[in-house]
Amino acid sequence: MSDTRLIPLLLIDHDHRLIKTVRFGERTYIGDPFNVLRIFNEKEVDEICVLDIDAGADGRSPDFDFIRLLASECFMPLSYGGGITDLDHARRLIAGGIEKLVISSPSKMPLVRAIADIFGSQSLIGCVNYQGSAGDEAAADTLSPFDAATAFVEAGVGEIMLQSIDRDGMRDGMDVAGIGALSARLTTPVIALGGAGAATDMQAAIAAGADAAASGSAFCFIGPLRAVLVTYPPADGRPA
Amino acid sequence: MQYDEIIIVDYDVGNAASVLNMFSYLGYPARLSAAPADVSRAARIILPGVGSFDAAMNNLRASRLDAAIVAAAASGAYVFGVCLGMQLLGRASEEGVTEGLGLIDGVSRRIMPTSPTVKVPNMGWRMADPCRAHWAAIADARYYFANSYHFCCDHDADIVATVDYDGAKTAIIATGRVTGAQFHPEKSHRHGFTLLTRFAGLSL
Repeated sequence: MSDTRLIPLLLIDHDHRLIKTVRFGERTYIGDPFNVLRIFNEKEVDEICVLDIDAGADGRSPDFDFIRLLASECFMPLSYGGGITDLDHARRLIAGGIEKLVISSPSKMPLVRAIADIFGSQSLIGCVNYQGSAGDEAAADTLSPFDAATAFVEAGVGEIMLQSIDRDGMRDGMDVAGIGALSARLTTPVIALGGAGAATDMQAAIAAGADAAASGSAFCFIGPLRAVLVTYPPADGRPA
Repeated sequence: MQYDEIIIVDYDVGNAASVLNMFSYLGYPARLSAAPADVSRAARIILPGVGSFDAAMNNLRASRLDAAIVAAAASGAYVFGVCLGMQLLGRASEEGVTEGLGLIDGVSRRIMPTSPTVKVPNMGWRMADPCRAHWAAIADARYYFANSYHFCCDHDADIVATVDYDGAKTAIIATGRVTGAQFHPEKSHRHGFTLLTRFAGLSL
């Protein structure tokens, strides 16, 4: 039985619709989030991550009632990201049944510190969105993925989610080498994200050093035409 | 069978809703309460916990829930601490400077990896290994862990189950009617159902 985590990632838009993006752009409608969550619950998934990808851009707070309803369907750990801008948001989300908060903006380090002080590091995931390889050194005007991850860890997050923007929705494999190189340099668990077309792609990232892997596509699409089918491999049927 | 009402201590830094959610799903009577009078009179108490040791203890103290939990335990209530809630049952933690509830002899210490491949927090699904025969029912179950500190018991007899994370670490502790689990049963699917069902129906 495997200790590693495979995490379905559910992207929610401003209308509470479950969608999947390609390279942070083009969107495909997947279905109703509650139906999909119930299926994942029955399949006893390791963990679920829900991101409201419009909340930040729309300047909205998290939709607490909606998230509380989502959490009430989950008998597995649930993380949430999107529109978290103050400590009260964190308090309400955790009280409502969210285990971990996903923060992606590098400008939110003071908030990360404040949340870690009260709710602990295990309640925070720092999401580093990067282009190229996770192992790349810093370019002229941007932090390297390692530097960005380190800033989150120093501020108090307990996990780092490494998201490849280039690979988002492409379903042709994860940034295995880059994720492996970066995981080896971090003391916190790493969640690989971006590019998986199937659970085997996620296992490759884990074999390279990630502690967990997340994917939207791998558990929601099947075949070259991306037919929507919600699937998940049972824990006792995976390589250890 | 008539079940006692389970009081889930609601002290503002816990994940009380998740615990209530699982009891509701299982069909046992449970409710959240932040009132010391409810807690001190309860027959079964769950102390949930997500957060840092000092923040949690300070909240318990400010609302006088600490004394209520200790009083309930002294009068024979079943008390079950979950994750941080379990660590609060001890005397202290390296995570903070305040005193814990002192219901189980031990302190929580930071997980210090013996190799760089061991990450902190311990985050994920692990098997719990029971050390006592009458807890065998929880063997071969996987539970969700999310902790940077682990409970070190003064007395080995208080360790009910361990988890192998860079060596054996405490997974479940129990002294009399006071029990604690380092993992999150309320987030461990049917494995958690089994454990919480056991707590709801425990008798002498």
